[in-house]
Amino acid sequence: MEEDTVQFRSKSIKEVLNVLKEIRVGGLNESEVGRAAMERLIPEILSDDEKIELYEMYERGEISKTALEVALGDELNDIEQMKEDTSEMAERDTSQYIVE
Amino acid sequence: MGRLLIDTDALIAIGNTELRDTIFFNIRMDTTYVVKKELERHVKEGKASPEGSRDRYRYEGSKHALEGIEDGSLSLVNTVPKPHGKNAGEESLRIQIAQQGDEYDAVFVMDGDGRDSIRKTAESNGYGVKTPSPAFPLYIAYDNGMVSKEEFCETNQAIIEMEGWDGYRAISMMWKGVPIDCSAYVDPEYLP
Repeated sequence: MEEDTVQFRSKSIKEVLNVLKEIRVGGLNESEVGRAAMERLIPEILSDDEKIELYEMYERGEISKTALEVALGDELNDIEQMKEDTSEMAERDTSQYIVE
Repeated sequence: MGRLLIDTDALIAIGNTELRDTIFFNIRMDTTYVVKKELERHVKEGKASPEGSRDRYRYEGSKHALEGIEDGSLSLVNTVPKPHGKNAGEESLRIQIAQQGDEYDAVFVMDGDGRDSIRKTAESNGYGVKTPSPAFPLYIAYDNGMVSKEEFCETNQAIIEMEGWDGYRAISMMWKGVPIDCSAYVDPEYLP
C-alpha cells in the first residue's frame, strides 16, 4: 500500500502544536493545519520551469485538475480568466485599435 | 472606439521582439506617465549592462517602447494620485481603470497579480474591462494583415523563451483563445 502520510514535524513544531491542542478551545486538527500549510507553500516554492512542466502534464492528462489547482494556487484562476478574455477579444473587430 | 492600456513589462516583452515597430507604431494603446518613468529608468540603469543580461533585456525593450511613445502609436495618460515604489507602473494602470475604466476594452499586464488587481478594480466598478494575454497586441497586428502567420508564431515562441512562466502562460493562453494554429512554425516542445 502506498504510504500517504507525510511526516514533517520537527521537535519544535510538535511542541507548539501540542501546546495549541491544550490551549485552543475545541482543540486543533493537526492534519488540517498541515494540509493548509502545504497548499499555501507549494505554489510559492515552484520554479517557473516546474510550473510549466506541471501545466503541460495537466494538458496531457497526466495529472488532475485538482492537483494543478494545488500546484498553481490562485494563478490557475488568472490563467483561465486570461484565456477567456483573450478569446472574447479575438472575436471583436480589432481594426478599431489600429491608428488611422 | 474602445481603448487599450498596457504596462511596463508587457511593453518590454513586445519591445524585445522583431515585431516591436509594427506594434508600437500602428496599434493604438495607452500607457501612463508612471510607466514611462519606469521605462526611462530601465534605459538609464541598463545602458552599460552586459549582452544577454536581464538588465540589457529591460534596456532594449524600454528603449523601443519609448520610441513608440515619442513617435509611434502609444499615448500617455496622467494618473492621480501618482503611485511610487516597486509596483508603481501596475498600480498606475489600476488607478486609470478605477477612474476611466468605462472607456477601456482591455488592459495588457505581464504579471498575474497585476492582472488580478485590475480585474478586481474593474469588477467592483462594474466595468467590462478584459485582461487578455499581454501578447494579444501581436494578434491585433496579425488580424489586420500587418504580420504573417509565420512571424506571429515565431514571435510567440521568442516570448516564451525570454519570459519564463509569465511568457509561457501569456502565449499558451493566447493560442487557446485565438483562431491560429502555430504548430507548423513553433518548436514542438512549446506546443500544448
